[in-house]
Amino acid sequence: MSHLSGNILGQWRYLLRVLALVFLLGGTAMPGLYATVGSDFIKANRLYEEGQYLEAAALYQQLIQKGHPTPALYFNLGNAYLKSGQIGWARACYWLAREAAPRDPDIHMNWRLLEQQAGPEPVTWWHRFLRPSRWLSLNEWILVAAAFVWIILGLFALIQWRPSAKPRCRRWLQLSLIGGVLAFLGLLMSLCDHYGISRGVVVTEKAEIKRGPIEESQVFYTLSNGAMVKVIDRQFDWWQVTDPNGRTGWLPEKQLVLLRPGRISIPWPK
Amino acid sequence: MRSIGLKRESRMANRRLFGSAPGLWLIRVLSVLCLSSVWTLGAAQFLTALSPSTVTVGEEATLSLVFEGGAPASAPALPEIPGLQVQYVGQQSQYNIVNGQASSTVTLNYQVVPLKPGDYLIPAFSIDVEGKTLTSRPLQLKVVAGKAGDTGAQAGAGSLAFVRIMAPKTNLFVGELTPVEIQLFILAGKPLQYPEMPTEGITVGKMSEPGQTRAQVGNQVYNVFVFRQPMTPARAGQLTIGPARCNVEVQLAQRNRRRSFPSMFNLLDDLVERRQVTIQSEPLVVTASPLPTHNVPADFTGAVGTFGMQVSASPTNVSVGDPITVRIRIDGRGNLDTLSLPAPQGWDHFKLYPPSSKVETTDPLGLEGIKTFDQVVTPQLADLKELPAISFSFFDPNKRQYRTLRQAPLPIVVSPATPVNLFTPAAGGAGAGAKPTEMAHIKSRLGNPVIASVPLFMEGWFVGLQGIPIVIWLAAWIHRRSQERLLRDPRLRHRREADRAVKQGLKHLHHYAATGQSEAFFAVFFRVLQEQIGGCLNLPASGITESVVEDYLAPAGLPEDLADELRALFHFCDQARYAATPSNPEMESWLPRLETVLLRLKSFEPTNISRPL
Repeated sequence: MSHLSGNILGQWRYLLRVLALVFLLGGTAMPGLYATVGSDFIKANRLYEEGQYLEAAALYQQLIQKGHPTPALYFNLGNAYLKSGQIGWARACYWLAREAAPRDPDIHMNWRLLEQQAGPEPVTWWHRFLRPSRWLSLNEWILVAAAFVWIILGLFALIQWRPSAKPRCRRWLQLSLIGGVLAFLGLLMSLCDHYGISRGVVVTEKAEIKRGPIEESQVFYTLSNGAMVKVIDRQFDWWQVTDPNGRTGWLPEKQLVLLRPGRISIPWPK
Repeated sequence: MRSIGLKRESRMANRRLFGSAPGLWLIRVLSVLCLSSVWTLGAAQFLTALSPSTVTVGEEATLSLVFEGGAPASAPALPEIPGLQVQYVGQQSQYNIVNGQASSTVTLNYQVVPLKPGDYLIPAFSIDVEGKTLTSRPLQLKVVAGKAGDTGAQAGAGSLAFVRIMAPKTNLFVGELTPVEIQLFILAGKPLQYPEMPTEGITVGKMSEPGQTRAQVGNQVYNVFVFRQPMTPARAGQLTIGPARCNVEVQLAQRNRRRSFPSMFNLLDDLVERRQVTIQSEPLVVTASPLPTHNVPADFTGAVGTFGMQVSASPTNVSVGDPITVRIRIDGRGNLDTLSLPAPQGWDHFKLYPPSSKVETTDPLGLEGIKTFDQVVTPQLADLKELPAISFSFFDPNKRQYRTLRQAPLPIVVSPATPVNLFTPAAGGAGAGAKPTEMAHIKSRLGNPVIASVPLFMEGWFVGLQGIPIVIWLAAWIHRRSQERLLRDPRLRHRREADRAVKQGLKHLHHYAATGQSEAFFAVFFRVLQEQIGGCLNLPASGITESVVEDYLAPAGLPEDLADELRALFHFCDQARYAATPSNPEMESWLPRLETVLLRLKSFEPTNISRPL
């Protein structure tokens, strides 16, 4: 047995060495990568401070499209859009920033400001019930749930490997199972919150909601830039939407940005 | 001669139609003779007869067209007579030979069933017979009610079926909604379709499902089918509704009909005959008055009826630009579909969106219900204290005057909001619960990248990664099973331990051979042999000597060459222990032989182990 445990320890040491090497390599490579992104980010911030909001927005957007999105980038891009009067795009950016960093108070602050300006988010009592799940992002919930799966299966593996450890593991296993159930409940709520309703943001100055999905159709009502709607259906190049007052109509595709559930990306303006 | 022939044909016709009650046919033939008239136009003659001339409602009479010396090619269609159902039932042919002269008579019979009491006139009609036009003379038929002395107090009394239009009010105002009923009275039978009712200057709604009841009219009890629908006069004046028409099926009692043999097997069919008839009502005249032109409220939009109004608003504590939903609930009796709100007045400081409306009716005809308007407004100023008053006017046809419902201004609280262009940079983050009044400034640090731009469960690498703990758990489970198997099988455990000791021993042997440590070399050499044989035979290794080859291995089926090789190895060990020390190359040269023997012993399975050591 002692021989066996000696072997296992040797393997763990080997694995740790490999992991250390990976982190070391990553640690040396990442600063280099972020050095470039960081300089552009600073440049964009400078443009913003100088009041060149559209130029700053273009640079922020370029960084995101290069594949280095961070919540700060989305947030700053939202600010740049907001300052340049593009409330709809600003709201879409804050949405993405909130999806990526749900506990960031600055993002929430600007989001609420836009809610005052452009109207509330279309939610039902069910989505208000699910709102606590927004304390974590969808991916964070997935990671927490996956972590509990790892812990629970790891404990089970330990008990198999070392049956003598079972009494000591039992308490941890119980706690992990409770935590796992809670994590999966949170994940389920987050999934329902994300996938239960499709949302969209009006990104044009004035959107005319029509009664049918054709150009000649009668105008039902109008929505202002930045208004959020519930997206119900799509026909041809039209979205069927419902505003927070429950009025359902049709809106041309180009006037709306669809916020796809769980995805931190949107079709950016050219 | 002609009268004799007529008597014969009439007798036969009556016999066929009315049966052969003794004496009865004679009376009826006489009545035919009284009513018949004869023309002679050249060779062909034509006469008509109706028997009997007085019948009750539902009783049959027979109309006979008699042709002598010729006949029409087919049975002629008779003119339609309102209130009478006339149907061709067949023909008879008769040949007479009198004093050597032959003559032929063809009689066409029609069944006449009256539906309502009254005096009917069967008009004259013309028929072509062999190129000549023969014309009949009018015939009279008197129809009395079902029973003697029953005159019928109401219109239609005594009929098999009749229809009438009823309305609770016939003096209406333009736009006033009221129900209209089509009542279908059927003595025995059923309607075959919804009634049709043309209207002029009146808008009618969807007809309801018929209700069924029974009612006594005169001395008869009818099944009454009631169809209801809403109506609204569209213009002023005398307006006509109807007449209503409907196809119904009535049941006739086949009295006086001689039963044929096959019908004896179906007694009910023989007793009752179902017939489809079309009945028609008298039209209903409605007087529609125009709405008064004096004292018309300014906000009147054309609503006519009796209504109530409730107004609510939510939320009432808002910021400038926040939406407030004003709900206007109008309930009552009237045409709710066309009801509309007056143009908003006094809402200058509010932005108004087009209202949405919803109608909920509380009766099947939609005469009463609730119409709810949801009007979204957004205050544009911060000092607004109330929503403007809301009023709704309508014309009450019962009171014959206009009425106005007013809702007092609803109090609201409007707080100012910060416009976008007044945003100023914030120093640091804001609290999550604080009401935002300013815009948070841009972030100076790039921060950590997002975990993934799509949900992780859509990433293949992440899903694959989740297999690792499962693999670890499976490995541990297999390990546990393996350990338990070893615990249950001591022989296997012994063998495994022996293999491990042999492997380790061989490693040491190479080292000792290279370094010339002969004493240690042979000790380990001997120990390795003991371990391998002990593992093979499940015997303690320490007690194994050369004799085990003869005692255990050979009886257990060890190949002879392997046994010789084993003996040689044991000899080598003994010699080295007790004789001169071998050189390093000599020691190393024995190692391959030892390894070969150990390998063969490892794969050797003893077939028979006689006893333990």
